[in-house]
Amino acid sequence: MTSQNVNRREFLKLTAIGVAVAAGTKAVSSKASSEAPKGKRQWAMVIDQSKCTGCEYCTRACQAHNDINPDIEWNTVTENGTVGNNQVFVPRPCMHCEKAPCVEVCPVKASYYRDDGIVMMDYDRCIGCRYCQIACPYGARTFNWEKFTGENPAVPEWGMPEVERRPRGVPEKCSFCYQRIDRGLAQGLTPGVDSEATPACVNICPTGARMFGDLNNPDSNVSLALHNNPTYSLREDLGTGPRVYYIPAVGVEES
Amino acid sequence: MYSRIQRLLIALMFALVAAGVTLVAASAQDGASPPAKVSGTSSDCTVCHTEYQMTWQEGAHGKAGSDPAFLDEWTKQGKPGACLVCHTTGYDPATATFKENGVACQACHGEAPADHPKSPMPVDTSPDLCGRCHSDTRFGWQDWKVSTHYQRGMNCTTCHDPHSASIKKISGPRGQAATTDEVSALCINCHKEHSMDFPYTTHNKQGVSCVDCHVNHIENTEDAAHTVPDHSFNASLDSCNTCHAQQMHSSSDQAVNGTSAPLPEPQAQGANLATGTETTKQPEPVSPVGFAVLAALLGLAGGMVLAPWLERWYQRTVKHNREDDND
Repeated sequence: MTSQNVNRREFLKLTAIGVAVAAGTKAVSSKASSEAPKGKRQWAMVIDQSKCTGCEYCTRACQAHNDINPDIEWNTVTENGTVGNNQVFVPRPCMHCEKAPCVEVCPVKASYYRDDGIVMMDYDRCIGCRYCQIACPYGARTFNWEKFTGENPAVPEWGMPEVERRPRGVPEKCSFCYQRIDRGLAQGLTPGVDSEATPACVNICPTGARMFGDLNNPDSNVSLALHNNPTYSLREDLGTGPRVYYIPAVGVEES
Repeated sequence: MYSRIQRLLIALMFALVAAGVTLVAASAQDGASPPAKVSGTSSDCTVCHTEYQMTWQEGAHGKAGSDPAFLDEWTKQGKPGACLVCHTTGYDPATATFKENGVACQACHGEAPADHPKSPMPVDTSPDLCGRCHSDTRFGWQDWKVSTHYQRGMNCTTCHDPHSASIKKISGPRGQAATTDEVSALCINCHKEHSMDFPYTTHNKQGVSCVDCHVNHIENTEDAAHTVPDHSFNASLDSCNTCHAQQMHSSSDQAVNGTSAPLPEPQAQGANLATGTETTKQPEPVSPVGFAVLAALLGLAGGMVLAPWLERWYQRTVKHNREDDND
């Protein structure tokens, strides 16, 4: 009798421990999935607002290289007041957040982090619920209400398409030109240094206001720019950890 | 008797033969521009890159070896090989041959990688590449180097589209039409401080764009065929004098009387400014197709006239043969 009781008690104990362990593992793993994994390289962009003239070359090059519907902009440039006599502009690509709300809310894990910190989209997996579009505090995502057919007006003057057009019914956003980074790395090039491996918007910027590189490399131009300049990022208060940093135009008071 | 349709068919056959022969002959004569063809030409590239074909072949780079103005001047100077270094692609001075007429894909991109399109075409977008032809005597690098554009690290392709070999086109925000003419729109795209004044000036209303004053075309005395656009972008007194020469330093009695020289007509101003485009206003040579069409018409007429004789000759032959057969 006693032995049977003990056995039952032990069985219950073991079961409880097992459930607790399973739940704990689940909790830990789910917490880990809401933060970008830290791979060998961590791409980031630094935009110098004192150099930006608001010419929107970045937007045009982006439209061409990623074959974007002219109604959609992955990279927008908005005017934001003046400093002295100069207008100040805020170019806004995807921030590729360390804790990206869009990844967190995606019910089917179509939005995910790459090891290098790029927030990517699996268009085949996406069900078009647009949660990510609403969750993004930067308005970086746009929905494909219709299939993009016909000519892309930005081609060929501003570049050649390098990726497939997105289907109807999925949101899309800036990908840091992952195709250029991946192809460049495969050829032994350094993104941010060799133009073939660098995002199109960085290459085309006539004033060199954009820098791109690896945060893990202390000698990369972005690391140096972050080290040598006061920088801010958009909506730091939300704790999203954006990987796009801005060097404010001279005279701008940090808010 | 032949029916009308049969006669027309015979006439059409004449027309076709005449047109074909003329087209071949005229195309062969078109070799006023030196002939040479090797594989790996732009036609290979445009199989996939159709987007670039039209802008390139209509632009100055595509026409560099066939532009009538160039061919005239080149022939006048005794067809020097030195010109072909830049006006053709892959010119070899040793054999005086070249791969392709005009500034074709390979001139800037070089050879395609073996695994293209997996590997992209290489291209050097630095001014050094453009400078191989647009050198100091034909471009004015000294002027360019004092410009703010150069000092801020901008390069040729910032403003110029290398494929169409012209200024990049800028439309207004979100595809809206530009507020001023195209060249000024490109400048104002960055120089936004002038977006709210220049479009409303008399200059803009008269069709004077930014580059008309800020890029002088300096005559190159050594090489009459080329003018040097002043890329320092400084507007000089010469720029003003292009139009306002008669208003400058009017003589004292005029100043006292309050009469000044009449303003030149706006059209004349435009014509003065358009010196850069004058070279393109050469008469176009008649294309081989034009000759062929003319020959076709002649052939058609000839066929119509000859048809009755042909018919008679044919019937006689047939009759003759039948008689032979009967024998």
